[in-house]
Amino acid sequence: MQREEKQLEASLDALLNQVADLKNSLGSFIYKLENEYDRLTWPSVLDSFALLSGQLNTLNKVLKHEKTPLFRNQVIIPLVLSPDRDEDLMRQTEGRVPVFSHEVVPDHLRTKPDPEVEEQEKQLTTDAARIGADAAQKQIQSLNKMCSNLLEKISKEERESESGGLRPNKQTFNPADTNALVAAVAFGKGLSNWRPSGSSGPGQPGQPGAGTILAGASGLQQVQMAGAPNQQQPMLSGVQMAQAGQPGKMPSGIKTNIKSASMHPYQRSDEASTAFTWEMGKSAHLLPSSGLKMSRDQQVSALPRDLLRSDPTLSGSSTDTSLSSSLEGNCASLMFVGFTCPHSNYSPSLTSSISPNMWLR
Amino acid sequence: MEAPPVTMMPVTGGTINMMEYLLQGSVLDHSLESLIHRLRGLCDNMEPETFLDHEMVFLLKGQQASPFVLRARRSMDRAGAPWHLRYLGQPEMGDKNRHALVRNCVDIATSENLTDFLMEMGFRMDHEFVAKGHLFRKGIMKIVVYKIFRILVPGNTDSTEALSLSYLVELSVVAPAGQDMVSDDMRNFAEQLKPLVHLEKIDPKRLM
Repeated sequence: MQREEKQLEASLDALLNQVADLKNSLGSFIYKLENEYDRLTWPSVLDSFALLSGQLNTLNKVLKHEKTPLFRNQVIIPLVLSPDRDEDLMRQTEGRVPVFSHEVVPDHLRTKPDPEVEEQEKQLTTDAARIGADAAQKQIQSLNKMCSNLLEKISKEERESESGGLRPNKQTFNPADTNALVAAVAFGKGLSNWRPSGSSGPGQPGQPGAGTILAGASGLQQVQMAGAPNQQQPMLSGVQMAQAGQPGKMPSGIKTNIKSASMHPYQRSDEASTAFTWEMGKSAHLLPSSGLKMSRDQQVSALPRDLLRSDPTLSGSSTDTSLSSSLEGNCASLMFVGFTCPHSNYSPSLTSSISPNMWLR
Repeated sequence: MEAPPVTMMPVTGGTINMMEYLLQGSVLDHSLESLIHRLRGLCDNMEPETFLDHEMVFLLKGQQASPFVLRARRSMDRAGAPWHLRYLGQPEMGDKNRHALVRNCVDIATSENLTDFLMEMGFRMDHEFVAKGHLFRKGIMKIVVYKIFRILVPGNTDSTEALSLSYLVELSVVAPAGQDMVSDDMRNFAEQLKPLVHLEKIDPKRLM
């Protein structure tokens, strides 16, 4: 008996220690939750949980230890009940239980469930006893089967949703489309289908950028022009058309172009065509029958507008025919040369040969 | 690599040193809903934002090898919004340690006579398109999912045609030069969109 009592005492001590540890960590966790909730991190909460679960495990181990006597066989009898405050008890329970009275004893010393629960449990045990062993075995088997089926279904569902609800054969994107779209935003590949097929994206300069609405017409004809020198007239009308599109801005624009013909850094291909026009206009003036409409824009830069208006040869509808005839005769080849030269230094001899009074004749 | 006009440009506000970090991908039309759903979960909690823009790309051809490109963008669904002028530099692929394409980038809000101004400067329009889609943000990251429409009649944004059966997905960050760490965040974000969308750094030069 002595030995058993000692064992009981020892295991009670161990149990008390474990419970005290558990209580401390629970207390600090609650303190953290209540006072540091604003800067509490999820990992630290998990740490606390891990600590608690470890301590519960140790407690369980202590309880299940073979040397631990069965506590349920021990009986606790309340010897004295008193309605007065008990300071000792107060201290031991940390102020939770001030009196050891008939009110709190049934709760604190309870070792059995409530009578109703006990009744239900009894009912269940009698039910279980009534079923034969075979029937019970069958029921257990069917329940197990159902559970395993259910588990299988759930895990299958999980696997499917893990792969994003996307079976591998169902594609959500197309790499070729990606490339096409990236190429489209990067340099307009496949976007401007009205662009002449001969021209190119920004990657290949030097070719006419004829994507614009205004320059579109002249740009196209420019390309033709390079191949067939006999088509000046459509080319010219194309340029006129383009210029007519913005009549108010023309004079200043041309001025810039004339300067840019030699060294303007913003030189671009359709300015080259204007510069070329200018060249052609001047060359036309060298001819006796030069009633050139094209030259008019050039003179705007050099002459007052009134002078231009008073000059009958510079206006009128007959210009186009005289233009074409004069050009076909003498200037076509000249123009062509002027056009194909690099714009920075085209036909310098021709430019220098024109004196101002030729324009003012 | 840059055309001279930009390096000679007066620099105000220090915006010239901003770099755009970019990852691109696409999603097929029928998977758009799933992607939008996922993005709404992943991104900052904000009202879903859509946009409908008209972008015009202008070229200025000099004697240099490569023309100077500017992009003008206007909103078609928000009247009165400023136009957006954007310069993008040559994209750099970088090495494996940088997970995004990087390019110089200058953004300016402008008035609506921007196209006239560019034309007067000698720019010519190279191409244009309409972009329609959704916009998401997560911190400094911007995610746009949009469809590109080609414009059938020049200048008329009413008659358009979808370029492909996919939406373009772009994940971008505009940050000061040298902030390569942002590309790590972008990579992590892109990982979360897999396998729905594969966002990659795509060298546009490869597609020319």
